[in-house]
Amino acid sequence: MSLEQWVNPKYLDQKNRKSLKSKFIANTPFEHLELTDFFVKQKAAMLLESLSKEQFFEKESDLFKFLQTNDMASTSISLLQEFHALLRSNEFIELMQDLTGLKLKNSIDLAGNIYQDTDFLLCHDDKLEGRKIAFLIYLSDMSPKDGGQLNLFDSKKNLPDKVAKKIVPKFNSFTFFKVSPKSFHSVGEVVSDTQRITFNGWFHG
Amino acid sequence: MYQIHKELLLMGGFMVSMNPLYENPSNISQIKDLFKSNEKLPSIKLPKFFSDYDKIKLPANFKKDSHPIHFSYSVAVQKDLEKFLSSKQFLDFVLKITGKKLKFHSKLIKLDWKDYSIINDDAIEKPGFDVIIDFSSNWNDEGGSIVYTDGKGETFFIPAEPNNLVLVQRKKGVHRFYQYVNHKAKGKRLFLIGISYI
Repeated sequence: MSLEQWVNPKYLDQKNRKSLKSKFIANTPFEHLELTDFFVKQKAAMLLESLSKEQFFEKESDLFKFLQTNDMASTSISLLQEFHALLRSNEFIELMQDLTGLKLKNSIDLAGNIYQDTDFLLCHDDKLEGRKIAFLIYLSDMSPKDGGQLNLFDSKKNLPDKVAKKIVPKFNSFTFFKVSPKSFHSVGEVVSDTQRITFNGWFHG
Repeated sequence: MYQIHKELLLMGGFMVSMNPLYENPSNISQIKDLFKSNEKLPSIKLPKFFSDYDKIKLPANFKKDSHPIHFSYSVAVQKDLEKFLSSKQFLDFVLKITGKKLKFHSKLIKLDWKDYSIINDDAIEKPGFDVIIDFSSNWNDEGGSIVYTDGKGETFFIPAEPNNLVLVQRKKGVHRFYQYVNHKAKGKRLFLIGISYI
C-alpha cells in the first residue's frame, strides 16, 4: 500500500502541496480546502462499493438525523481496513501536515455516513479534545436543488453568523477544515431522493 | 365561579377560560397523582384545556428569531394568554398539582420549515417547570415535536395536539429541544410555552 496507489499524483507534488497550504490558510470563512478528483478513480469506485456492504445505523438527536456506520477501525472489509490504515499512515499524515501546516498524530476517527431525504446536521463547531482537522470524502454527486451541501458559517465574537460558503457534494472530492472556535458548519437538509454518501472523520493532533 | 370570572374580566381583554373539568377537586387530585407518578419527568397532558379554544385570537404577525447554534423560530405575544398564565386561577391550579408557587414567562412560538432548537452545552437551562399549550392545526408531524431528554436514552415527545396543555417538571439533567422541521412539513405548528425556573 502506498500513497501513489491511492492518491491523485497532482496532490503528492511538493510544489503543489505548498501552494495548496497557502490556499488552506487563506480560505474563508475559516481554513479549509476542497480537493476534487482526490483519489485514483478506480479506488474511489472501490471505496463506494465496499462502503455499500457496511451496516449503517440510524442516528438522531436534536442536532442531526442520518445513517452512520461504526468506526472503520472495526471494519471487517479488507479494502476499508486498507483505507483506514492509509489515512493514518506516516505518509498520509505527512501529506495532511504539508497541506495544512498543522502538527498531527497517527490517529483518526473514520466512519461512513448517508444522508437521505429529510436528513440534516445543524450548526456546530466540532470542538472536542484532540480533533485538529475535520474531513469529508464525498462518494456521491449532488446538485444544489438536492440539498445536502456543507455550509460554512462566518462568525462574530466566536458565534456563528451567516452561511458564507456552500460546498455541494461532488464524487471523489476530499474536503477538510481546521477545527477551531470559529469552524461553525452544518449540512443542509437533503430534499430529494439523491443520497449524500461520505466518509467523514477527524485527524487528531 | 362568579368571583373568578370577575377577576378575569377586570384584567381586560378576552376572557380565556379553563375547561370546568379541571376545576373539579376530584379530577385535580387524580391529575396531581398522575403528574408525580413519572419520577424522572413529572408531567401531565390535559386535553381540551380551554372551553373557548376556538374563540382565542392568535396574532397574524410573528417575528423571526435565529441564533444558528441555539435555535431558529418565530415568536409573538398574545396578551390574553399571557394574562391567563399569570392569573390566580391558573397559578392556583398549578400549585395544587405541583405543590409549587410558580411564575411563568411565556411566548408564542411558530415553527416553519428549517426551524429547530438545539441543546447547547454553553447555554444549559436551569431546572424548572414548563407549561405548553398547543395551537397547531393540520400538522403532519414532519419534525416540530417538543422533546424532553435526559441525554441517557429517556425521551418524552410532545406532538402537536390542539388545545392540549402539557405541564412538565424539568429536573436537573433534563433538557428540552424543538425537533427540526423538515421540507415535508404541512400545516401550522404553533404553541404557547411558559417557563418557570426554580
